[in-house]
Amino acid sequence: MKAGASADSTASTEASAATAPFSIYWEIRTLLYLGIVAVSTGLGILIYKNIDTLGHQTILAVIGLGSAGCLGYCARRAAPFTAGKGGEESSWADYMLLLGVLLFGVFTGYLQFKYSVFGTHYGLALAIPASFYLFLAYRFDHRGVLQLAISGFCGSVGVATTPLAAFHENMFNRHAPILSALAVGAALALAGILSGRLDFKRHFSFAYLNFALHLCMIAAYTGLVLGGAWEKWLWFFLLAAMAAGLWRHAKRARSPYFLLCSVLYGYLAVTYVILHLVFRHASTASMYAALAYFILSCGGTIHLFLNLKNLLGTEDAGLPEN
Amino acid sequence: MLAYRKIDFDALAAGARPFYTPNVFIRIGLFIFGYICALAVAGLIFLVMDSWHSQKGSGAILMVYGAGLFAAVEGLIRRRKPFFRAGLEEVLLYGGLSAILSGLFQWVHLRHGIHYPMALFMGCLFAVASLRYADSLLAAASLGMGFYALFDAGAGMGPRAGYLLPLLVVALSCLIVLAAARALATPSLRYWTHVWTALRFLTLMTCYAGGNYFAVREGGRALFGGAFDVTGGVPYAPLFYGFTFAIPILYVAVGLARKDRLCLRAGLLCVALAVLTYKKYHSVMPIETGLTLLGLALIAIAWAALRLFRTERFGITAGPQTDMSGAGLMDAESLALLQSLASRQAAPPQAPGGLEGGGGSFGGGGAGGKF
Repeated sequence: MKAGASADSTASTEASAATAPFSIYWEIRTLLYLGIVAVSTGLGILIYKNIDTLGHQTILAVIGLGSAGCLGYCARRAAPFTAGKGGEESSWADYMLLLGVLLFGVFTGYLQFKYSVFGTHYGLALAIPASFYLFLAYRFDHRGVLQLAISGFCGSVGVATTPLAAFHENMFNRHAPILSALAVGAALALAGILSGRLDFKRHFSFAYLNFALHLCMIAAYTGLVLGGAWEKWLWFFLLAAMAAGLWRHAKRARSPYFLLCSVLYGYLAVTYVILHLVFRHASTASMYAALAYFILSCGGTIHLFLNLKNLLGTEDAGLPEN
Repeated sequence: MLAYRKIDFDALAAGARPFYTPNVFIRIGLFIFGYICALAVAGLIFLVMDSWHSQKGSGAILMVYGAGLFAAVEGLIRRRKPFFRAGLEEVLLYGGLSAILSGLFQWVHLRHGIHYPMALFMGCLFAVASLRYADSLLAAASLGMGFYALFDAGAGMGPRAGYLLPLLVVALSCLIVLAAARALATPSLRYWTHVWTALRFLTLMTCYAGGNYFAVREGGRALFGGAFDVTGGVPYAPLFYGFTFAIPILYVAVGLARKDRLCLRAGLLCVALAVLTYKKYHSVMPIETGLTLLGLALIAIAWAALRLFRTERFGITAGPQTDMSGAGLMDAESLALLQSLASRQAAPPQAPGGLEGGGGSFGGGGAGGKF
């Protein structure tokens, strides 16, 4: 029944695709990716559940050997290092690298959990694998591994600074997580800008900037919401400056994604401040004012989006995929 | 029927850009800000009309407001460059429909929620709107309301309907799959290509769900409660299990044999659902062992497929597509379909010579890379 069902519709697809062969590129890659995630998750749970049993040494050995095998395969197959974009993207070796890296994560996680290799320096336990990932990402030219490395670094700073805030109640330390997030974000932004400017792994720039942008914006917004009266203005101007900087970058890089982020975060900041002022003495009038603000501001933003071409002075600029 | 000018779609197929269709992120932005704006306007109207407290009064306000939103949508579509998948006209359309429906609910008293007459009415309304505005999400909503009406009607017929419903769902889905396939091959219906494509994919999935063991068992329990006794397993279980495993394989086979990507993807999804269904009722092994083995199997299959189709074989290749990227593949293929249908049309459309001829710049990932 199904065979008949698709008979008609495919006739036309075949007509248009008669010249080109039917590609199952993305289907195969999706299967491969799911398989890798399943194996690393499965092994991670497997070793966790079998701790202190006879088999867990075997499982650990399997994980370690698997990781080493995958990484060794990549090392043998890899093209020599280039500062630009490597050859074929999303090849078999790329996926083996990902599997090797994920298994390595399970392996070190287990070592820390069972033998406390890094003691109570939990930040270090994240930072050392992250540094290794960073090396691998640059050596084998892999953006997915780079993102793992960046999240590892963010996590290690977060783990290292959060307890500080709990113990010290003065202003600076209360903001320690926010400030450290801003610092990490600034460092990542710098890395992203430099890889673009120096033309060293230019295609890594997006991953750095994307992490940096969300980290900084969310940190500053948290400061805005939690801060006292005068502090709010400080955070607001910081947010506004970052949104403006992001807008400039988006214009230069012709990235609609960064443009949307800049507008959304900027709008959130402005809206917070305006509603804060309007509802200081809540009344019916403030309801009117708030609704009028939403209508006018959204209308303005829509107008902005519709006239982007005029603003940016570009006619259908070819945008990067990100 | 169609709110857009048909000539614009033919121009689109010919490589011109007759519509205002922004980049996907700009589309998201327009959607979000359009949504907030529409909500704020509604809030302001209710604030101004504070004295109108009666239920029918507010229902009337909502319906008038909904009509206003529809007028705005029509206005956007009648611009020099009509809005098409631009976020703004979509959010106003969905807002208009929800305002009118919630206004209607203030007038029609709905006891115990929505029942099948109302669900059928809503389904028809969504279908008409989907055809008028060439919107596939509304087509999906219409399909959903149709099946909801079917279940609601079936729930009133007692537990015996528990065995009739799967049959009905499968039969109905097959009908729609066939109809959508027919529509996809009909040149005069080419303006809704993406709607037919979406419908075909969804009904391929509902057809599978209709006979899937898990769906039959748990769906029957949810509809009929204790009256649908499944303690000893569902009657005719082998039949439903056979369906659960045969259909995914059939979909994948047909998808590969006929080079039908929609069918192939539906099949792969159904394979995953079949595995989950089996896992739910049979504990063969602990989940982590299962995950590991499944992952290894997937990697092995992918490796084998990569080796087998490294060079083109049976017209299938593992290499990347030359003309389309992976993201938004559905859209790109809809466009390809539209193009082939437009060229098959006996009388070719007037050549859109005056429009900026950016031929060949299409297919670059769905919504296209432009502000």
